[in-house]
Amino acid sequence: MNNKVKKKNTGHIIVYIVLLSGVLITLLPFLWMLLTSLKTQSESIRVPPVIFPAKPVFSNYLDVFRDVPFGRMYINTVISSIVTVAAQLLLCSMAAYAFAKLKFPGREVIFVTLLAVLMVPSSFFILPQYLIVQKLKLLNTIPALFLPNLFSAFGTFLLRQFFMSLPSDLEDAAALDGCNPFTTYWRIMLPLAKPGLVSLGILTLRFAWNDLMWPLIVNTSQEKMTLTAGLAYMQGQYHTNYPEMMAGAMMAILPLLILFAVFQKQFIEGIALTGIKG
Amino acid sequence: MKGIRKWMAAGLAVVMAGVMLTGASAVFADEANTDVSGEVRYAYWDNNQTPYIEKCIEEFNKVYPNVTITLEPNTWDEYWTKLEAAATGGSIADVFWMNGPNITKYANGGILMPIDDMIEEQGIDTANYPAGLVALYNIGGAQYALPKDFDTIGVWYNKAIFDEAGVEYPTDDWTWEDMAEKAAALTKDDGSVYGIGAGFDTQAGIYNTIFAAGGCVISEDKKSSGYDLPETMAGIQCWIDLQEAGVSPSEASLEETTSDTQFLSGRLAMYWGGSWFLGAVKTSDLMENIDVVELPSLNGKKATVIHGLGNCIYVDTKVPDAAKAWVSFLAGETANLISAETGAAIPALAGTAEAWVESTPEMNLKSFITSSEEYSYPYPASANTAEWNTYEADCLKKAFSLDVSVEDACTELAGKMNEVLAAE
Amino acid sequence: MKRKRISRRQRSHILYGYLMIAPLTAGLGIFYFYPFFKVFYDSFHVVGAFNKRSWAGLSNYAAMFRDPVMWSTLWNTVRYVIVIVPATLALSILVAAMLNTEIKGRSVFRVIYFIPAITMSTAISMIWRWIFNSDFGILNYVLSKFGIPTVQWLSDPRTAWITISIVAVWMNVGYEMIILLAGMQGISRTYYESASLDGAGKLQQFRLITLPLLTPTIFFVLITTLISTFQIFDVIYMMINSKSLAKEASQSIVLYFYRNAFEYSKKGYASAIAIFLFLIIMIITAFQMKMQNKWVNYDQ
Repeated sequence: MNNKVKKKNTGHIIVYIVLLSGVLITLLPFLWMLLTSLKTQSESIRVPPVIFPAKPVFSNYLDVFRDVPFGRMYINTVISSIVTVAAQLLLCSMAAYAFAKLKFPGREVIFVTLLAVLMVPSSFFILPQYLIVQKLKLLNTIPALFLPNLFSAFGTFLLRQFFMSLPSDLEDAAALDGCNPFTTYWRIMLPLAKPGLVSLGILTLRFAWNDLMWPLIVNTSQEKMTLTAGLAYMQGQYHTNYPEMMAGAMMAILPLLILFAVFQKQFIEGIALTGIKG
Repeated sequence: MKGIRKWMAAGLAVVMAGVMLTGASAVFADEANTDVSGEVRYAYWDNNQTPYIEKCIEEFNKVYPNVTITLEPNTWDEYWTKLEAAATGGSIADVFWMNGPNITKYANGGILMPIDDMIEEQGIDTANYPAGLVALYNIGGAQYALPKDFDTIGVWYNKAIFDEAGVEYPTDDWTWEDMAEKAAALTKDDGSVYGIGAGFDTQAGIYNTIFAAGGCVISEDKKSSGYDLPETMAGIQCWIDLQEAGVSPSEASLEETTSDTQFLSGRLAMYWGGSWFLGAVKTSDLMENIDVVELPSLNGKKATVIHGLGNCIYVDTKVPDAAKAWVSFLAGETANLISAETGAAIPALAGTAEAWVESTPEMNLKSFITSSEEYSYPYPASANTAEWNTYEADCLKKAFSLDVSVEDACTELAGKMNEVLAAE
Repeated sequence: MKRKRISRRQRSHILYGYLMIAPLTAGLGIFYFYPFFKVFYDSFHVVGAFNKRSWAGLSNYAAMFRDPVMWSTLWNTVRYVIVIVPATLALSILVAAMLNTEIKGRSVFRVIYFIPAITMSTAISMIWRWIFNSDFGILNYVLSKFGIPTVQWLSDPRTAWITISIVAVWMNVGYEMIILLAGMQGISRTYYESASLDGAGKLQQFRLITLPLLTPTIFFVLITTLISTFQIFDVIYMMINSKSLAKEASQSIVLYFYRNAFEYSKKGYASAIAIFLFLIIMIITAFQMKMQNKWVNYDQ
């Protein structure tokens, strides 16, 4: 018995050591980002490297706002993310419900065809999408940032799986009460699908906030750029100012980190759900 | 090619420019033009020039209060990618920077508005601009841009590192051997300081030494590559010798952290850079320690590449009048003097370059003017320059990283480049 | 009477069915299907700068098979898949298994490990690039304290792809771990209890119960990381510039597509690459779907 406890303890210690070193590897880059963002330019490129800045320089954070319209980019990213999430939740859930619960000719064929989109890297669509947005005269506007992202085959797939797992009794009852399929979806099924919606919302938010290639191409004016494109711009500068770049990166990742800190339970459960339902 | 800019030296030109200046500013000051209006989008890639552009807008709006200039700054890496996508989609900026390697492609692609009539209307005399650069932007008999500035290459050096090592500062009449010796004396064993940044660079690197060694990048008729000439190879080999001597950070290191950054961090004693580097120097904390000299002579011969940017107008711009007003303003006296005073770039208009030199009297900026007048060569370009530029980097970097010999790298490059040229 | 009611309900199903899928289908049609056919169409053309096009037949495809860079790029991508997918799987299963025990601070670990999954890859690549910088980076400095000579992490063609893989795995693990952990928690306690009674140790339980019952989740994670790794782009784009010595040794198919389309003005050729990659991904997915019957255990 005693031996067993001992064995269990050594096992636990090993597990802790492995987990803690993992934590270290996970967090060190962020720590280094923070430290670099507080250095002067020459401190940041000294050999051997300076670990702690002699005196933390907070002005790097202000310089980001001076050199690029960072506040504007924040707003653009927030708007684009919110619209993308809202539109996907509505459009995907509506279609997913129809694919899962309504019977109409061609349902399977249409659904499987739509899924083919998942096979193609999204970057391949960029050029034609760019030309479409241009024809719509929307280049260099905020809607250009989110337009193609409003429609998601993946989101539809995810929510369809979810709707399929819900029992049909309620719908039958609703139909008897005279609800049409849309009102059934809107009043009864949608509230039940909340975990699925949260899950899709988190995935979409994560994608929309972090997307790089599309915003980089579609909007050339800095006033209409997102944070990712702003960071890429800062990195590409002739004479790269590392502390300022890191200050920008810190500020760009902060909102999602805070959101995650507040809603960590929903985030983790939401992601976990995609694996189970998918 | 000598003396492209002989006019610069002529005092007469300066006097004439002075007359023109007072005349022009009188016109600008007197009548504000409210007829021309609209929003002009202006795309460019060097953020160091933003202060200059903002000042220009301020002055411009005194004359054209109803024209708004919207800035679209970009990084060099993304500028051409985005410009082409935007040109394809018809959403390109109304006015944008152009350079020698790309002008032919954009002119032949039907993206640019010829400005011959504008030049005539505004009474601009193209003789007041460096002839070689005016010709650069003249494609098939039509003028697509006027040079906004010109640039040549010099050696920037960090006096503090020279003082510490007890090495004498370079002088304008130095030789390549002097430079190599100094670089060796300045290099520290622990890798904290190197004498020079000898990484792969075309305009600020091998092009200059290729010309000095008597080689060429592309033949006069633009039909064949010059990389298989022994002289051209010699102009590259001298850089590889620096790499082999260990007086420069490795090619890999310079790739991860570019030599301008390493220079401004105090790791490099000497750095080959263009006159445009002044803007970055001025905002650096090392400003007081930095000066510049002419390029060293190679086997008794000196050479520098001369190049200049132009402002082009999109052919289908919705605001042609406002765009033309902006472009001719930028080509005019006021804008050129602002460029000189802010140190952004050497202004191209006759007589204004002196003001650029005087903007920072503590530095030997005169060396850039001297080199442009006495031994400058035009930037090598053909219709598909951008394409063979990629091959230059791909092939020659292997030589700079000491993986293959200069001869092998050049032979491979010449083959690929000839294929591109044959297809033109 | 009865028949009529059913048919009315059927009719409304058909009507509302089409109405409810219409916005999504139209959007996908315009922004994804039309572009797909456009890319397909372009792959048979030479599309130069400013969209000037001329018919090229199969020559883009022929050029692709002769292009040594295309093949090295394909090999790079396969190499990423071979390294990143198993490493991600192994590490995330390991972490998930450790977090599936009764150790203290589980939820704190879970939260920390998840952080990379919600951080902007653009920002993360920037910091990693800086850490891996061979002269000014902290990593080489730390390694030098242990007497390890300078490694050119990102500029040496031999190491650049490994560096990229490390960063990619670092970004993947937290996310996949969460999914696997959920899968593990879905396994009924009773299996473990009876195994415990039979005297099976923790490791044995993991091998005999956890792994086999986790196969559906593992399969899901495998498929998704496989497809996303085949499309690897952001990390390489942000960490290795287009003039790097390591460019050829590190670029993926999607990046090569991007460079052809946007940097080299060869959109027709780029389109052929796109179609080719699409076929590869389709074949792999189909193959995986077929193979899953052999090892995925759905009857829990």
